[in-house]
Amino acid sequence: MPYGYNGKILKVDLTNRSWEVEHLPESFYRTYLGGSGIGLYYILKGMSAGADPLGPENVLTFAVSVVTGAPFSGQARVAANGKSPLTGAIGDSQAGGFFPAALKAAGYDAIVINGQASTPVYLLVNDGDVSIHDATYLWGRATGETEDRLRSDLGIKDVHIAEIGPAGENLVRLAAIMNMANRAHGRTGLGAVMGAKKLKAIAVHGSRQPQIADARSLQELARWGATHISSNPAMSDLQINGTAGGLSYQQMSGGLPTRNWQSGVFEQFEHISGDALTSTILRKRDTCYACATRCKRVVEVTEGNYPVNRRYGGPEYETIAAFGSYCGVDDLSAIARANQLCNAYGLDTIGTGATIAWAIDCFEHGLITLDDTGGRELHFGDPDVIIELIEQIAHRQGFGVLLAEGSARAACKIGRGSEQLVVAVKNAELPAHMPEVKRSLALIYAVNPFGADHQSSEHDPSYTEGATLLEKRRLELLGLQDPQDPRVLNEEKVRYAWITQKMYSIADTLCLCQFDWGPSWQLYGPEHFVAMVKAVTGWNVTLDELLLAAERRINMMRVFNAREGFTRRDDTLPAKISRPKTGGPSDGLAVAPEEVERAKDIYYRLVGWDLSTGNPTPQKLRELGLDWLVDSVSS
Amino acid sequence: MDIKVRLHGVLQHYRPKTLGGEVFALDVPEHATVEEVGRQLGLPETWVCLTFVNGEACRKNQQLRTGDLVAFLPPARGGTLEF
Repeated sequence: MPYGYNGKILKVDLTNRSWEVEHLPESFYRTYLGGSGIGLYYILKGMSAGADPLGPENVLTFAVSVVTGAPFSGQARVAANGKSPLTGAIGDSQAGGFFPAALKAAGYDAIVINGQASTPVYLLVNDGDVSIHDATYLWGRATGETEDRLRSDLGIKDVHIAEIGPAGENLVRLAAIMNMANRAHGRTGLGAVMGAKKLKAIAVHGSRQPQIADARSLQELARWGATHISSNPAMSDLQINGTAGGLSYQQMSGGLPTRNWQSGVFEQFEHISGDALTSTILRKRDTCYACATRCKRVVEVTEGNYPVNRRYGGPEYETIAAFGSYCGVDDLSAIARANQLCNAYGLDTIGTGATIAWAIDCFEHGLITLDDTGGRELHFGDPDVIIELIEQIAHRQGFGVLLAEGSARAACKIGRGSEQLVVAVKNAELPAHMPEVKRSLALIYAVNPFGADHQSSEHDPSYTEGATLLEKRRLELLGLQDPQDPRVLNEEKVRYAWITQKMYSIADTLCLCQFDWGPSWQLYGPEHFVAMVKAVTGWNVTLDELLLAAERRINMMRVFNAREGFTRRDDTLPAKISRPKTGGPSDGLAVAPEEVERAKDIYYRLVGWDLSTGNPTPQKLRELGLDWLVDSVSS
Repeated sequence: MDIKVRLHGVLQHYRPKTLGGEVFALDVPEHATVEEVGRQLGLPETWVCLTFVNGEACRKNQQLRTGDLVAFLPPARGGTLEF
């Protein structure tokens, strides 16, 4: 019996309602580790290029890693992968909660879902036993209702459930996969893939985690983490105020996207800050399996126009920005209500908020009219607009039919210059971190295989003269000893982006929470990755070995995209980023397209990708032991 | 002289218990600097990331005038952890 993992992958065919178990050797796990590493392996082997993301040929994977379920903070994550109906590129999204550890305890390291059921079903994995059941009676229900009903019907204590809501069923391209009805695989629209497969839910239950190789060392590492949260101000603030604690910082540095990225400052930011949330609507601090950080929020509003139920958790920073500053809304209750609706219907809060902000911007510029909206005026600062449009998007009603496609596709249909107001890369809307003030994000947003992502590299403030001692020491371990201005994108900054991108990719391959695990500011640093993997698996790994696995994951994603016809020209930022912002510390700031093109040249050379196509070269794939993918990029 | 202070995020725990409100008044020596005000409040030096006077970013050695509003922000990331 291996340490840390099961050695078993569950492969389900929904078309035939059948399944098989694949047993894999240690060498497979040591090469791909878990998460999207394992997901991409099955997707690249099992899906042909050009597959319809909403057809039976799309392969949807849920994978944990060789360390998931072990007792330490930050291991409770699961990766979902498939072809994205939003981007047409690889889809990738991680979620936390208790589902990941339960999947591991149920006896599998990943579930690979092929085919398409003819009628709604749910999948049950109970201590190794697999069954597929009718879910017609759950179809149309919100996520919380689905969880409650299914849990009650199954009668299994400690069962954990991943599910879609009406948005996924209605094939909304912004649809999320939820678990606990408040943890989201939000990005890249994988909820619609599950909806297309007519897979309403996956319920997992297990009674036994795999053994740990060196339980004593792991326990020491876990204790070290738990006792050091309070001495790290960023972790301490994360525990007290949640991710929303960062909102004031973004505002003060001019990096809070406001009114569809017209500005980097929101005048009413104090109404929606982490401090405001903590002192008004916060009811409880929640956590994921075995995590001492407790960054999750539970909020409640019982009075006023926007009631909010604790069942659906509370808004993260990204959600507050997307429905708040993006839309010019300063009503925290309305934002929390928007968060509840998105979690209940299964919608990505970033993509949905950004799409609504784009629609408002278009309306205020006369590019979208009352004829398009069904007579509804759209204005920044109107909380009712976001609530009404979420309903319409989730149910594909009225104006929501158009917005359910995401802002980029909607702009293509509308035309009239509305494309110029879209803020997306590869059709995926930008998260709430501005490359204008954190310039390395301009590069990472452009080249990231699944669209603009803020969780794929370290941000610039960690690599400045003003960074903290902890950040400086940890980055030095990675050979980064030349801090830069946060607003430059030079060769050193590209090197920083690539090295930290690999570190974040280790986290995503090992399914680690990036708030606990990362290159610089987080609780655990680079050296802890090695100690932790050694303790759980017994493997004598090095950081270089883990970095290689991380690089493998990124290259596999780029190979997937190359097969789908993506090239260098798709690694492009939206026009809005090159237009000067107005007001505050970022007044007049913009990122010139030439600046990004120069950085891409440096980056492609550094990572070993073809300069003209931006795709991995055969030589690079061989270096990574991915010889089996060479034909994919050669043809 | 009297100034006004606003502590953000985790730094709010250093607000003097006798002083209420998000923005509170504080009596500081004439010509006190931002850094000296932080010290007077007991803010750990390495926990302060950004400082502002009347909404403008400032250096920690900036001298204050009567009625100024000083804001202290913790890092959104990073710390002083020894390892």
